[in-house]
Amino acid sequence: MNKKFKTFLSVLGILILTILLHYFGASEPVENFLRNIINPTSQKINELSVKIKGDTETFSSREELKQAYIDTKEKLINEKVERSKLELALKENKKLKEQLNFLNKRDFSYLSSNVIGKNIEQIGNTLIVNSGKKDGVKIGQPVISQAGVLVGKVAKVNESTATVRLLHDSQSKIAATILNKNKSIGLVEGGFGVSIKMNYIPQNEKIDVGDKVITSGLSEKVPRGLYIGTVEAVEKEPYQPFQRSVINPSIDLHKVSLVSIITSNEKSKEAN
Amino acid sequence: MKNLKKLTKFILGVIGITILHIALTLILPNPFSAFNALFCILSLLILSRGLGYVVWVAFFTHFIIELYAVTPFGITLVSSTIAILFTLWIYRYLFTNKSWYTAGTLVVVSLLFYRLIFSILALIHQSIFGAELLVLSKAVRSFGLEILITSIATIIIYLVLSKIIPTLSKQKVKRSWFKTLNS
Repeated sequence: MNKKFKTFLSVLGILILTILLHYFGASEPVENFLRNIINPTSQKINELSVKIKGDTETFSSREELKQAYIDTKEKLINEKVERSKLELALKENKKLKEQLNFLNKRDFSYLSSNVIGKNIEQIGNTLIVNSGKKDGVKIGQPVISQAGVLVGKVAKVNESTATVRLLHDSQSKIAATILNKNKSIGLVEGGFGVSIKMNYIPQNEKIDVGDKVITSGLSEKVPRGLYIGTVEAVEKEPYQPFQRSVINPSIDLHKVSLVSIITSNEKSKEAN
Repeated sequence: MKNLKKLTKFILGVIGITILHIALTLILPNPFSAFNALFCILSLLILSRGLGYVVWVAFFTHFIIELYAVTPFGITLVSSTIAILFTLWIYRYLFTNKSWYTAGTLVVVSLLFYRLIFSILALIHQSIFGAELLVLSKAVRSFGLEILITSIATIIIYLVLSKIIPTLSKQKVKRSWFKTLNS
């Protein structure tokens, strides 16, 4: 028993030493070496995974049909993004309109990154991208897909990689606005499988299926106007002070292979 | 020279197991992606060899996994290494034979230890630093699925491998506590 206790203490001692070495940065060369080995392999596996899962979604063996499906889907997403921007532009004043037209008019700087991996722990839905501290990535920065759709926020930053918490992760919380008559605001939260929900919407506000949802700009570092998805269902209980809606993300968050990290919020603050 | 060969084999083994775990997590469709290949392999290694080096395999593989984890550094590493150490002791002193149900029980026990220690550490971190790491109700569901998928897969893999690897086939555990009591 005494021997067991000694073994346990030795293992615990090594674990504590490893953790201390990590937090003091002494194990960084070893960690970077391991990342350099794993990252390229992980990226290849991820590409393969996207390819495999992409193929199963088309339900077709014809290559042309598959390509047509992908193109149509991409066009649909682009159109939805454009339409949401247009709706905003019509409803808001000129100043706000310029703010919301983020892709063309705002002075955002985007950092393009490749997805090199996905969450490998049972808890959490995350992506690993090949940009990190050395590229200026910071925790909390929003991450969008090529089409300008919000994917999630940066949750952890390493020297050359970063972990992105996806919208449907159980810890993801982003302030959002529904483009309805009331411009309902609420909190988009994950943790419901592949779908996301928007909570804390006042009971008296009318939400319709198909309404578009964008970021409200109330979350730190996340600008207003990033497209999230459309309302799929509304959950309303008479005895509850708030209603909530199920949001259908406009893209399959597990099939994202290229993302852009919005870094300009910090830039503009620094300039001011 | 012999030691260098052993070390190279160990390092390649650790990297290979980790890459296999990452590959299966990324490629397998939901809910099969909940399969924890690392714990399946570690449990089969315990069952096959029952030697202390399995704890070091657990340590190094989870050190790599930790580099990609969103939880603060240390939580996954500590919980997995301690869980495998406890599982090894349980196997050596409580288990009396090698069979498909031993393989299943071993992986369930190791994952229960792992997720229990993981949850305790995450909740301690949560109470000290405030950042929410774990939503218990959702975590219990995820962990349950992980245990179910991994145990079923481990039993199937054991049944296949026991036909090929002699050390995995049905035989008595050499150092069982129960065996010592009976003799």
